Order: sequence, then C-alpha cells, then structure tokens
Amino acid sequence: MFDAIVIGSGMSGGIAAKELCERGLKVLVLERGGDVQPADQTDWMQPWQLPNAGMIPEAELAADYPVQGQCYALSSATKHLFVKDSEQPYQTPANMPFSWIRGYHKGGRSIMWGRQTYRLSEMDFAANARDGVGSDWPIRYADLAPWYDHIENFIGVSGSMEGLDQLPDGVFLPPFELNDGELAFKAAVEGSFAGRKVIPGRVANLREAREHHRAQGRAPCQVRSLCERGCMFKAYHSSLNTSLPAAEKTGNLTLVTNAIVHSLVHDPATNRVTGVRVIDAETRVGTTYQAKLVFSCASTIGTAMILLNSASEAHPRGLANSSDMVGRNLMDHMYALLTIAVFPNGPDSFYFGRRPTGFYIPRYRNLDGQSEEFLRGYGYQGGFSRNGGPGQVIGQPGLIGAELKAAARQLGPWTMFLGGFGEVLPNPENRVTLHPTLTDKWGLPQAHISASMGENERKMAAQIQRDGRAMAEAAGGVVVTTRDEPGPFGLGIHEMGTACMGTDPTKSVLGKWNQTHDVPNLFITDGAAMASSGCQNPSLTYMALSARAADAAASMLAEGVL
Amino acid sequence: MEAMGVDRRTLLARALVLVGASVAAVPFEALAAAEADLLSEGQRSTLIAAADTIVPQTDTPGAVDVGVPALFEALLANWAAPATVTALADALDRLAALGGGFVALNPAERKAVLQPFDAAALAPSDAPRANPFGPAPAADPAYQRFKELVLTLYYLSQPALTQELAYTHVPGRWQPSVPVTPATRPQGGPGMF
Repeated sequence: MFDAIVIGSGMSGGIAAKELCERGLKVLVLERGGDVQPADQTDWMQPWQLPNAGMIPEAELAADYPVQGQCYALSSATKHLFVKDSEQPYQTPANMPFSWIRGYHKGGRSIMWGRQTYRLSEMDFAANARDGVGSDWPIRYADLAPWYDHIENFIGVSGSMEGLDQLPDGVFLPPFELNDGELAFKAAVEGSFAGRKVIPGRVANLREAREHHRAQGRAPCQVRSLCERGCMFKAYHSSLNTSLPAAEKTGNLTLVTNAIVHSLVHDPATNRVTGVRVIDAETRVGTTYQAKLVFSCASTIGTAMILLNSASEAHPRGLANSSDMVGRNLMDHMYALLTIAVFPNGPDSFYFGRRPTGFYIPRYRNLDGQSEEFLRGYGYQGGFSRNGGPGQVIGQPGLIGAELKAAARQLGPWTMFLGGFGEVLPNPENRVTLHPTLTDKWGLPQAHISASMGENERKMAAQIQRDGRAMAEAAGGVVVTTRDEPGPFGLGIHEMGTACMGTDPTKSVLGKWNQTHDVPNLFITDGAAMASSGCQNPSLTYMALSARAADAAASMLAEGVL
Repeated sequence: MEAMGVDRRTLLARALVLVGASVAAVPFEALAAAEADLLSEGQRSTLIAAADTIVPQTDTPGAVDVGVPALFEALLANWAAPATVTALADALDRLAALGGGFVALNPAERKAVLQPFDAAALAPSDAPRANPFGPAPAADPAYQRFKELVLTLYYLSQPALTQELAYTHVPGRWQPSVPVTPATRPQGGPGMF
C-alpha cells in the first residue's frame, strides 16, 4: 500500500511525485513506457555522426511515423523518444485529422519539449466567465502565482522582466538576449504598433546555474540547441534532469516502468479510488497497486482514456464523469501559422552560439474587453538567424563548383521565422472517446479523437497571418513564405481540457484543488485539467497546478479527509 | 558481390583513387553499405564525377575528398525508399549523357555542361511547396533531390563544417552581437537556427 500513486512520469507527473515525496508520502509512479538511460541521449553526436544525415529511412518514416514525422523534433537521433504510430494506433473521423505527438518512456515528452515557459494571467483565468464559454476556472491568477514562483525557481527559467499584465513576470534567470536582427525588429514593431512587445523567449534552460541547480548536477546551458536529443549538462528542465531525481532523493519514490494503466479501482461503499490496474507492457501480466490517493498525470488524452475505461455500475459513463465532461473540450493551440521573411537591409552583425530560444510577442488583442471579431487572442514565437551554408545555395539554379563553395561561406541575410500561437476555445463537441470496437495490442480500447477548429479560430488565424505580414514588412522584411491555415489539430502538442476544472460540478470534472468533484481522493493535474487554453505554452501551468494540488492533497491526507 | 574477383568495396576505393580522393577519409560504414549495390558501375562513376563537379576540391576538401559518393550510396541503401532510389538513379543516367559522356570529360568540360543543366533543372516550378523550410519546388525534382543530398552530406562533414563553415558543437556561450569580418563564416550544423 502506497500513500499515493502518480500515473505518468512526464512534465506533470514528475512534479507531482516530487512534491508528494517531499511531503513524506510514499509514492509510486507508474510509467507506461520504458526506462531512459543517459546513453539514450544523443546530444553527443556530431553532425557527421548522425545516422543517415539525421533522416529516418523513408519507408520506416511512412510505416511507423506518419504522425510523429510531422513534429520538427523527430530525426534519426531522436526517433527512439517518439512512439511508433504503427504500434500505438488511434482513430479519428476521416475529415478531422488529429496529430497526437507522443513519447512513451520515463520522463515522457518533458525530454523533447520546446521549453518555452510562460505564465497564464488574470485575464486568462477570467476568460471563460467573461465570455460565457466553457467552464469558469475555480481559481484565479493569485491562487497559482506562488506556485508559478515555486516551479520557476526549481526548474530554472531564463527571461526578462517586462511588467505586462497579460504575461506576468516570474522568478527569472537572465534572458538569452535578442540578437541585432531581433532588436531591429523589436524597434520597428514597437514603434509601428502600439501595445505590441518583442521580448526574449522565456525558456526553461539555465542561463545561469544557481546553487540549487548545481546541487542537482546541472550546469549552465552550453548554447548548442540540441535540446530534443537530451542534455548531458542537464541544462534544461525535464523530469529526468530535475523532478524525478528530487523525488528519488527523498527515499520515498518507487517508479515502475512498462506499467500501462488499464483502469482505476473504485470502491462504491467508500466512494474512494483504492488502486490502479496495470498491464505490463512486455509480459502483459496484470497487477493492481493500491494507494490512499491517486494523481493522474497520464497526459490529456491518456487521462481521459483511463477515466472512461474505469466505468462501473456506480459510474457507468466512466469514473468521475457525472458531468459528462470527461473527454470533452479537447483543446490545442493553433500552430504552424508561419511567416518567413528576409531582411535585405538588416544590421551588419552576427552572433555566436545556438540559443535554445528566440523572441516572443505577447498577446495584444482583446486585452481590455472585447474589441475584435473573435474572442481571445494569440502570441508569436520567432527568431532571426543568418544561416549561410547549404541552405543558402541549394535553391540557386546554375550555382555549382568553386562559386557554390564561395557563396555558401557567405553569411546569409537576416531571416525571420514567426509562428503564431492562437487560443482555441473549449468546445464540448471536440472530444476523446473509447473506440467501440478497436483495441490496441494490450487489449485496451483505442482512443477516438474527434476535434476541429471553429469559426472563432478561423477568424483568428486570418488575423494572425495579416499581423505577421504587417510586422515583417514594417521592419523592412520581404515575406517569402506564409501559410493560410494552422497545422492539424494536435500538432501544437498542447492538447488539454479533457477533465476541466470548474466551479460547477455538473459542468466540470475538477474542483479548485484539481480534485475530481465525484471521487475525493482522485486528482488530475496534467493538461486535462485546463478549463481554457490561453495562448501561452502550457507546461509551466501544468507543473504549477501539480505542485499546488500535491500540497493540498498531502494536507488533506494528513487531516484525514481523504 | 564479387565481380572479376574484386569486391564492391575495392571497386569503390579504386574509383575514388581515380578522382584523387583519400580512401582513408571515407567512413567505413559507408564503404560497407555500398555493397548493397544499388547503382551500376556507370551510375557510380557519374555520381563521383557529378559530386566532384558540384563541390570540387579548392583550398578546402571537395565532396569526393570527404566521402560524399560513398555516403550517398549508404543513403540509397539505408534511407531511400525504392522509388527514391529509382528517381536518383534516373537522374544519374541523365547526367551521364551530358556532353556526350559526362564521366569522360575533364573537370572544366564537366562544369561547362553541368551548369546549364543545373540551371534548367532547378528553375522554379509551380508545384506546391511541401516544406516551408525546404527548397522551393524545381523543374527537375529528382536532380534537385540529388544535389540537395550531395550538399547536405558535404556540409554535414567534419572537414566542411570546420574548414568551409565555423561549426562548434559546444559553443558554451551566447553572444547576441559580434562584428562581421572577412573571416566570419556561417555556423552550419543540422538545426534550422
């Protein structure tokens, strides 16, 4: 009997485990994938050591990674960190593609994440109530602010203090400063468009290693930009680098890999979860682990699937689903709304190093009430670089020989990529269900994911691209590539919302402590908990919610109310 | 395979010697992969001659010096789908016919016939752009792919990254602004940024 079981060892589960262990609870973490060893990190590989020049064999890519292959981080050096779509199938309606990017192993997607780290603001927590859309968050910014502090301090976040209401400052290490191309862009944008800011991207890489970071064996970021391959310097936050080692250090952690959760065991007499049924991924042997409380951090779709697969006589629609909101309100961020521009008259300077971030443009629409033809807003991530090399010469017809080599030695012009991230509204029709007939190789129902962007998103996407072009051109850029449509639903890899927090138990799954309304000792702190998506990258919020809920759960356990 | 009592690896080594390359520079894995034998002798000779013409030896090593032909054959064996192998082999056959026999020409003659071919082959086409970060669609996609692979392999090699470009695996610091001098080189490397 454990005090707590945490399902999942990724971004949320790692923090939940750490916080529970540090409060003296005996914690079992269940990870459905295998272990990851330091040797699985491939950041040591020099460019000339990359298998097949970094490319996954074409036939293998088509057969095993048709969805994962849409993710920029997939390469021959990282493919072992992504699931094979062929082995982990799911279903969608034919006209509603959903890109479910996954990594099943200890640490989950925290190993390959993009590391962009932003707080939600008061405006975001009040948005559903203001607009009458979705479930009103049962917390406001002030409830989460100290936990944002706590997480930022622990993981290390590099960023600049900006004093913006819509993107609160935090506990920051020094930023990775903007380069000269970006500074010129910042001056042009901020001078031409009132209310817009171009700031250094806030990123969970150590610009400096403080004492508590060094105590975990972490060193400052070496500015390699190889992060998705893992980091021998432990310079970025991942469960492997920070939260799981902190949990282990307490002596209270047990972690079991290859443990695929089948369902939760619920005792109708006490209305408590008493355990978790697990299938061993390799032996297929079933085991039931028991605990006094359970945290589901299995990822947004994974958590919904576990609850739905835990249906019983007392909970025929699935566990903790009296509201019928489990699996509904699936959100992501609109992604891949790209604008690429070159700046022929950019500054005559360069930079040294490969920064693990770029610039960020915080939301500037609908800040003071409703002023646009769409609800909510969007931000941008981007960066300026001067590339040269092969990219500079491949597209030039007739360029060969010594002239090609000479041209490739030249620094390219400043080139900007600008990617909009748009808020997606909660919509109960965007949902995850258990497929009625199809199962995976462990006999578990496959996920059926049915989600599409709505009219609000279409209007917003058009504005994102209009603004992107206008900002590029205002700064003297020539736009060379744009996209009219966001990428497939899910490709933002910010899926969230399938067990939303809310004030009303008939319209939401979780209360203000991420505790299910229906089952007091069941907590959910992964992306499923999100009542709205904001437009900020969400991992920091998942971690802050996990830490806050773990603190509350430990207190409740001590008080005997669970 | 055995041909005239000589294995594929030896033939490849001989072919490389003919264009002045050092076999010692060629990765062993690439030599081994060439035994998959997806190219004819003629196609292999064309590959070596074309790679040498696109990226010749200058004051720095060229494509053949850094082993691009063998690495290219390794990609055919280990990476390319059958349709890609066919398309790239076809492109080599078309190159072979240039100038009445591309391989038999001297380096200056090869460059003189490849340049207009390259210019026509890489002329922009109206095909939809598959990858916003990749090259724009061209009139001859197979040749475009061929040239892209040759350049990718060359510019991922240690000699090119350290002598043509200024790759540093562990920069160790971020300097947001440094002056551009005549010695400044692009950083190179596999990432986009």
